[in-house]
Amino acid sequence: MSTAIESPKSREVELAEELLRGNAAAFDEFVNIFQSKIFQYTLMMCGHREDAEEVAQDTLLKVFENFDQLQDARNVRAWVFRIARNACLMKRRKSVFAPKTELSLEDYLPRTEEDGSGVRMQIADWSRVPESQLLQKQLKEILAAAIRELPEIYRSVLLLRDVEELNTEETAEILDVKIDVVKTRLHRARLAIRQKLDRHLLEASATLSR
Amino acid sequence: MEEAIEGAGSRPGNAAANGNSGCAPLEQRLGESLDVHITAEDLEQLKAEMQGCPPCLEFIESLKTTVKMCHEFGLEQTPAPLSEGTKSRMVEAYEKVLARRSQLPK
Repeated sequence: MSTAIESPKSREVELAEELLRGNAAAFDEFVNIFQSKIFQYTLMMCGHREDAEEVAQDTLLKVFENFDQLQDARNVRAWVFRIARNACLMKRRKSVFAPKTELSLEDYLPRTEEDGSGVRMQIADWSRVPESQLLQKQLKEILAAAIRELPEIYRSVLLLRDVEELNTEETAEILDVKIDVVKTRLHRARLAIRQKLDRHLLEASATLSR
Repeated sequence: MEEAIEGAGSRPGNAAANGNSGCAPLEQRLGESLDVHITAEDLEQLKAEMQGCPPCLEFIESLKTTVKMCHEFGLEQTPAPLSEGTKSRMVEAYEKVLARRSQLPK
């Protein structure tokens, strides 16, 4: 006997369908799911808890004010994140917490060293990152910091594509950019994150070998 | 801005840097290899093409681990529960939408 496991995305679609049908019983669960998701996105985008909570609430309010504009329940996640993204942009324009400058991407350039035969790249030993350690607190913190430090245009793509697992087309629509732009930014964002994690692993390895 | 991050992508294909030649085209395909829509055949072909370039293999494995970590990423911080007032405003907004829709001609 096999048991079908419902994906989080399909549950969101079911709840949106219920709400579109006028079934208010789906309201609480819908709010619970999306409040957390939007909060995570807005916290990573706004960088401040109070802003993120406010934007998440504003987003949910706009979602319900415009629920009849959701054409197809299957697109609910992308639709909600489009509203969240706009709310976030508005907040960043107003907020005293909005960063004045973006970090330099020079930080993401790979380190090199001379070894006599030429310049070589320093590559960490990623085989020391077993599955069970992927979500360990320290690595999660490094990852969160690396995502936060990405310039906004890369961060938003990475959060929508890799964290929220929206597809390329949905992400392009939310961000009002072409599909190729999403692909390019995603690729570069992943490379930048990889670089940060690589540096952490190199440093950790150097510390252990001392 | 976009140009500034480009250097991060030059690592595996930089033949002068890693002492390998012929892997520059792989750099362009690294992004494709991580796309969820890539077929198993494409991935196998890409891996086969990389066999002669250990830094490329190491690099793509680390990139795949990075993407996997992003998929599993979740903050430990959770938002404060909505106040009753905020929730009431949301319910009210939703009820208005339902009322507006019920007034539309069938």
